Amino acid sequence: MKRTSRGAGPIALALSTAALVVVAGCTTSGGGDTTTTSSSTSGSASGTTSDSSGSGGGSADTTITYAAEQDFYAYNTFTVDGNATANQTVLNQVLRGFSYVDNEGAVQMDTEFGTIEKTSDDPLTVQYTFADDARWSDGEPIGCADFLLTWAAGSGYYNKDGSANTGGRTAESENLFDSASTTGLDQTEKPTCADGDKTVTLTYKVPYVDWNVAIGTSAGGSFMPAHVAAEQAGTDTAGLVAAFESDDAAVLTPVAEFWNTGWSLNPDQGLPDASLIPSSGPFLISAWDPGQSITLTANPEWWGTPPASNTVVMRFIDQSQQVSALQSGEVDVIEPQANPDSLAALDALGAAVDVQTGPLFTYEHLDLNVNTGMANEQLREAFFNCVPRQQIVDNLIKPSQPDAEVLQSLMLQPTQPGYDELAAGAGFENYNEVDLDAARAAFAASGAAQGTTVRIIHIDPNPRRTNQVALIKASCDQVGFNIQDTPLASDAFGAARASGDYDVALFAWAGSGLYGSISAQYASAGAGGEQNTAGWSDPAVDAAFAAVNSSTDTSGVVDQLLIVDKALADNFWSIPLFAFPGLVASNADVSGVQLNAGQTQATWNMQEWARN
Amino acid sequence: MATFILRRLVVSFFVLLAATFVVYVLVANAGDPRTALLESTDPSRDAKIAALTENLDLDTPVVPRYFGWLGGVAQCFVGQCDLGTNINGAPVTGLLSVALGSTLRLVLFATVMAILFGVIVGIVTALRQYSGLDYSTTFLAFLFFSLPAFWIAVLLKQFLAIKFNSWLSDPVIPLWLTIVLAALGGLLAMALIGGDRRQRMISLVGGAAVVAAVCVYLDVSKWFAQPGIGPVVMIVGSLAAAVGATALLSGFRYRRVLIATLITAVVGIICSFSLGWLLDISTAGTIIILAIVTLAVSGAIGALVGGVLRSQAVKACMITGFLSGALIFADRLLQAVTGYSDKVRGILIATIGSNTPNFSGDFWETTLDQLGHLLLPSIVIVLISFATYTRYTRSSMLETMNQDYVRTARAKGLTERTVVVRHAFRNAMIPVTTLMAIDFGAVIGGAVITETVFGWQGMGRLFTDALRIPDPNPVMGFFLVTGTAVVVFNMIVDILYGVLDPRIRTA
Repeated sequence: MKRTSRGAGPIALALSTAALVVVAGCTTSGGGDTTTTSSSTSGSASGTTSDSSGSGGGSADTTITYAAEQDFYAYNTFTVDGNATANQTVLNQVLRGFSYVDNEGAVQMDTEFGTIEKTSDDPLTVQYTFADDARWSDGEPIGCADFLLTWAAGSGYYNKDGSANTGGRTAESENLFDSASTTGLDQTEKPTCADGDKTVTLTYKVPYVDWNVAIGTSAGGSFMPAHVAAEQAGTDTAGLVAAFESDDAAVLTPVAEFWNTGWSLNPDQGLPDASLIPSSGPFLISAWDPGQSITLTANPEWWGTPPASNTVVMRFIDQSQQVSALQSGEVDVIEPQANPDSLAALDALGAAVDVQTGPLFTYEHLDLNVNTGMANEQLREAFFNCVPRQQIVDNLIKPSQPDAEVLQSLMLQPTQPGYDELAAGAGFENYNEVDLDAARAAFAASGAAQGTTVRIIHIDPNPRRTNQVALIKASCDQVGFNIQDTPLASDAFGAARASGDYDVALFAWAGSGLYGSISAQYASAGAGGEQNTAGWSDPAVDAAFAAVNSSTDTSGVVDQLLIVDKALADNFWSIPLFAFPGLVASNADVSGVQLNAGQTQATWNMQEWARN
Repeated sequence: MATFILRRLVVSFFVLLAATFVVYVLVANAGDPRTALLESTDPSRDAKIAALTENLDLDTPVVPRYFGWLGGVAQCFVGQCDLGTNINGAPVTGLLSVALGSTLRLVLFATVMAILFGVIVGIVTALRQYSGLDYSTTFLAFLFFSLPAFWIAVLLKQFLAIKFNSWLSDPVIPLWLTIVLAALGGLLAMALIGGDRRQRMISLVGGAAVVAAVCVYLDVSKWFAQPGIGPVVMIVGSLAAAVGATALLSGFRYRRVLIATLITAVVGIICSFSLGWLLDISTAGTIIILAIVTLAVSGAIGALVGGVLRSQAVKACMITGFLSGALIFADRLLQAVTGYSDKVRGILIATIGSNTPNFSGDFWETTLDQLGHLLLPSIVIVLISFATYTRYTRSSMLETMNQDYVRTARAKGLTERTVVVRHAFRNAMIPVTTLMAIDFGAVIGGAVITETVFGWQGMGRLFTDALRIPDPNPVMGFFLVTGTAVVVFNMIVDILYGVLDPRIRTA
């Protein structure tokens, strides 16, 4: 703009008038193009801003940028394909529900979205009430049809062949909806409601401990916009509700087809039309640049507390490059891998960044197989006494998480409510430090020959696990064991563990924060312990899990879990080592960022992120 | 020739086919894509494992699975490509097209830059063989070639991006930097100009003085806060372009070429002062049209004024026109820097990604945005491939310069310029051309490390990410595209050889 035209005289020599006309013509048309594109982007952005200031008011006109590891690929996170951290990270505050698992693993009620009320314990009956003004970002009310759609997907009530499991699911049932899980909802009666109802009641055939996160939650199936699925199948919400009422496969099959695949994104085609992906939370998805970034802007129809910042941009950046992106100011919130290097790099940035470290839900442990090499209880006791738990944490975890502690429970994670009680009572504390005398005594009592070979299997390649086994070997070989490091490729590890072909298995379980999912790992194989391949069996443990899984009140759950933890320690079955370290760092002028121990990443509370 | 191409095609096809089989079997045996699910306690674990098994057909033995995949590939011939899906169920064709677009933008630009600089430097060092410049360039080329890409990338991020961006908020050039730059400038001038001891000293002092003066000027005038080229540099630059183009293409013995290029330069200067309004409302389309008009007008001037040496005059005028146009373009671009910088909170040189998310601005600002994101990864790629091009060009040029026909040309009394530009340069380019073609074939494969470090979701990134899981279909998609590209470009090399070198055509 500084260069103004200084007298038009001398142009004549240079350019013929014809050329000028061509250029000028193109400028107007080309210029017109830019104006329309820029006005459409800025138009929508400014539209959002003015709308949000009109309805919510509280959102500051600021942008916070978050570095995500993996690109977004599905709007429906309840399908088998779409159920992944990458999508949940984006959708945490786009699809809200009745409850969510918070950053410490506790279930919280989302009262802005609606309320859950347990109206009866026997049979377990739960009443769901949507907030009066709950509506999708396209203005359509949220209610009965949305609830029924998610219930149908999550219960496995309808089969691919068009039939309905009116008498409960059987082994042959093939869910019409490709949902990731049917746990919990498969034990409920089909709910009934009329189109437009804001209240739905769900009745369980058997009690279910995680009833408060069974439907419409960040931990499981979110409510998807039923009106969109209905429209794609050529009907409307009233028709959909009627089809659920009458189990009309002709209507439900196309709806399920859209539910299964219609919300998967193809990077080739970019973001689907806004009408297909409405929001039920504080943010809506406004732009997607595949492989580069996704943009969430404040949802003008959101009826609850408006987000602190009206735009959050998620850029897809390799974890190893996130620290320098934070330093250069291109992103504000990062979740790099928690390792000594990234921690040191962040420390070097000083007060310019806030760093939080802490334990995650994923925990490392040693399973001792009572069917093979570890059948002898004294031998197991000797092993318990010689595993250097404190040393493993000091050498391998503390460099990444300075306040790391030895894990003292296999049931709950350090951040979860009830963990302290378990840690104090379980008895794993007695084995923090190596006690070679006790180990030698137990080893002698077992009658095992000196140099008894114990194979520790683990997934390779994983340097941290190789180091753990080396530390265990250095300690336990002094007792008389011959620890044999047995690294396996993942498929070989899976096969070996499934068939019980190991003495000790070193691996991690990724916890979910749900009580009902614990029994699969630790109950007897005949009592629901599908993942228990180490041969542990104790009626007291099974009884405790039965009590946990069928309780409708979570207050007694910790006492039952203590029974299990004590049994695992007293019988020398399994040794907890540590919770995986987690790391989140943010620009010092951004507030509200909190480390999330669960799988839903730091974006779990992105509506609270603000720039100071 | 046709039989030759056809035979090459058929052989290449079967080679590619066999290679896909080998790679497919290798990837299938590299690991199990279901690994990550093994440690999950999520209720959805079993359903996910079952879905993945079905999606990727993991229960089928490898060989029949390969033929199933091949069947999908065969549908490409009827325009219905089915390259399978990745572990998330996303079609590989979509992933490939996004990755390919990203890679082409990044690596193509960098490769063109590497070729341009590599060839120029290669020729200059060949003409100044065993000079200080030659040794320094050789040293630097090998140094860059052997530097690990990830390390130099991290250094560039730290110093050229993060430190530079924060320096720009208070752009003061410290004294030590002026001294260092002046010393370097002096040495460069000395190496370039050469001559006897006295002349070398003059070059050294002169070069250092010029650089020091520029540094002081930039500092005092706060140039970095308000960058631009300015009228003086614009005029001097355009005239220098005219003289340079003339020197390169025709020499000064016949005055009319020089007159033609000077007229072109003057026209360019006049345009630069009168057409600012047009640039302010420009789009990519107008710029292209302006460039075409510039070339046409310059060509016309050359044709009208050139006289006997018309064809040289046309070329020289077009080069002059292009260079003055480039100066005008750069000037306008630099003027947009201040506005752009405000919009992106001072992050002028980006360290990650291919653009600022949701950036909206006029043509100049979006161009700056893209250049700012291209700069660092391009430097990394250029530094690495620079060595190959300089060495190749240098040795090829030296070899040509020692040929009998060059000696004959000199004996005829031709000027050194004619000998180098018309006789040696063209023939020296033949082997380099084949190198370029092969390089372009390799470009499609992306630059794995550069893409990862700078956050570009290109082909290299697609490949490594998929291989880490391992996710067979994206790996195969990548291999199919890159393998085909290599085969095709190798064939282009063969054909090009025939076109460039008549001896091969007739043989």
